[in-house]
Amino acid sequence: MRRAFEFLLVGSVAATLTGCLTLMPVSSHVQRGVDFAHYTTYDWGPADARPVTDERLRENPYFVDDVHGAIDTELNRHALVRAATERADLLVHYHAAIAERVEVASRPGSYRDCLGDNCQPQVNTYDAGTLVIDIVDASTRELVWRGWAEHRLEDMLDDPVQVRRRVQDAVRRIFDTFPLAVNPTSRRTALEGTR
Amino acid sequence: MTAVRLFAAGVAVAIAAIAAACAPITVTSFTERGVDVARYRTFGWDRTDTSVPGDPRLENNEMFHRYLRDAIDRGLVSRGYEPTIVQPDVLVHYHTSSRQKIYTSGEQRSAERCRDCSVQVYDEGTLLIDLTDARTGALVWRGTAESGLAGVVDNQSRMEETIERVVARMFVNLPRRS
Repeated sequence: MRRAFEFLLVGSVAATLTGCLTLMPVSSHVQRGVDFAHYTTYDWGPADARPVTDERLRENPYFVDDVHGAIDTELNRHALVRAATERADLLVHYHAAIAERVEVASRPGSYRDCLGDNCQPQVNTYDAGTLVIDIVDASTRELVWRGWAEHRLEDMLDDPVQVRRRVQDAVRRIFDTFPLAVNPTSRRTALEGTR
Repeated sequence: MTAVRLFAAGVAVAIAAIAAACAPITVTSFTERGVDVARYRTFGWDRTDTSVPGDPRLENNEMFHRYLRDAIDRGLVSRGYEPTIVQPDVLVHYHTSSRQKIYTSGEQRSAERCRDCSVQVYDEGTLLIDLTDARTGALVWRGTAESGLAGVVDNQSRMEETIERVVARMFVNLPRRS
């Protein structure tokens, strides 16, 4: 009984921890109380001073194009149409932040009852990239939505085809959390309802 | 295993899961010697510092900062202080940051032996709230809180609950105005 209980306990704690530590987490925040249904158009907002802080990414011509293209695709998929800045409801910009992070190389529990040097956990550093997409209400200039994905930088310096695939996957998964429906017909109905 | 025992085990598992998800909060506070904080009546906001070193998800994130600011407002009001924009007695300022920490669990039996040892890396957020005398600029009260952020930032509702809990805990240490 005791062993079964311990097993369940360890299992649930591990499940909670791994739930928080899955690779390439994607999520977003939304400004509460904002009705997204009345937004129909967007444009690219003024870029950050340095949208891509890491020169390895900045010098990669594919990365910037891929991110731009993937965001355009996703906004269109959510029935937002690009318009001239002065007519746009929303302004979009993104940036990629790079930071050095540490990770534990050995699996949890892999050095149970260890002895000597085996007790030293393997802690590695790596470059973590966070792609942050900001959507600002053009009339109020307030941030209404922010989505992000976290990834290892080395995966973004891979061959162009792989990078494009990962960027598209990341941006698509970020926009899966966007408050507007993907289906254009349901969106059109929603828009007509607001008029 | 009887049904009762199974149920008890289930409850224990659920409690353990919740405990692991809601990381502990460490709170400290400091009051300037000789200052009677409760004699200040009104508060107002100093400029808001929206940078969050260590977490690009929260850096300049208006959703995060607005919620935090509102929670601090509510916390101060709950201790009897009054918000104002005209000549406040104290100015409120906060600062947030995040960094990775390493946590080792297990039983260290000697320098070379360890039983059931494991290591976790987690993000720890720090919140610092300062109240300064609006007239002299002197610091009168400072509260700090540290909280694990695993699974917090990626879930907006949980982030808001965490802010609520952290701020409420911090202001327990602020002298109440009668």
